[in-house]
Amino acid sequence: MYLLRHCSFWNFQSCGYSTSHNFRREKPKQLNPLPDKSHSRSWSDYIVPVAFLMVAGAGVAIHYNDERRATPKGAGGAAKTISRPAVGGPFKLVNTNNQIVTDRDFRGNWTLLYFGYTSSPDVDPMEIQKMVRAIDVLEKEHNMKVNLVFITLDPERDSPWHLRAYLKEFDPKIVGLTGPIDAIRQVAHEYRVFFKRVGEDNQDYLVESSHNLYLMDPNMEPVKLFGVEYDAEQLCYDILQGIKSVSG
Amino acid sequence: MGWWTKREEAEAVHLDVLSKARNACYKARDAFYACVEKESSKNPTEIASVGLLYPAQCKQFRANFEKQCRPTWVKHFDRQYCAKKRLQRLLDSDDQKKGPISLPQPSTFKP
Repeated sequence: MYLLRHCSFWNFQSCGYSTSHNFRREKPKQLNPLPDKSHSRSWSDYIVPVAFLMVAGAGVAIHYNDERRATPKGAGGAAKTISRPAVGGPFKLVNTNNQIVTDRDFRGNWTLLYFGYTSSPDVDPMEIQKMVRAIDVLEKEHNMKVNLVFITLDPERDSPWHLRAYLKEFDPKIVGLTGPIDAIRQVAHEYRVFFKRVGEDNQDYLVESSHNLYLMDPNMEPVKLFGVEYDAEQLCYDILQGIKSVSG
Repeated sequence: MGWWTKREEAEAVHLDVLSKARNACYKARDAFYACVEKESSKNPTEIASVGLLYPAQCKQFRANFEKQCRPTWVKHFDRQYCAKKRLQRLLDSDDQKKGPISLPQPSTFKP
């Protein structure tokens, strides 16, 4: 009924122009003598369907665009990779025996990585103690071996000899890495570690930095990072969880 | 490796940050701040660093603190102590010390 009325409305309108009841039969005859009238009729005939098509097309385009951009809900595999910190990368540094060490040398084992400097008044010694305690518990109680790596952010003062003397007091197993300032800057950038010289006082200075511990899997891919708020027990527990979540 | 200009510079070990010196520094630091707490009723007249004042009774503790620790460390610990005190002031229920710090003398400005 609605459709019918609709049609008759269109007929009525065109009747006004063509002065005939039979629109279809009269059309070819009327085309020639009244070209301007037929032109106006076809224009008004087309504008509504065209507008309708444009609106419908835009609606369809928006819908498909939304569908394309939406992330499916149950994408478990993608979420697993996203939950890891997006840091890390290759590096080439010098260990405390003055030998060249790269990131490839740490592959095959889990690694706990820390960036600091030996002239730190309190935070860095505490952080190193914390990671040593956590690793000791992991090794003794859970029979898990995790490498400890300390990368200095103050290579001008932390030479391999000094670094060895410093780290030996905590645990001789800690691998201390230093190197030219450009190499240190590169590795700090890769791990998104902030560091800045502060409080310069007659050649002496402190380094302000982000004190994060990075847990790296055997492929040297980051799994988790821990801030200063972790204590040794919590750190040990979370490292265990991190290892379990990856190796299943 | 060659980013140190001299070999002896590379082989130098800064003994003042190794555990023995570090623990001695921590001890001297704790002794000094314990003295400041104990003598808190006295008038703080001596100037430390970063705006910290301490009473004259703690002078020898201060001297020992400055002898045992690097100057940058002393400043760092002073700054830490001041921050701790500032926080305590906000948390203390004692109404005398709570709130904004009052100036020692009233303003004498006259137009």
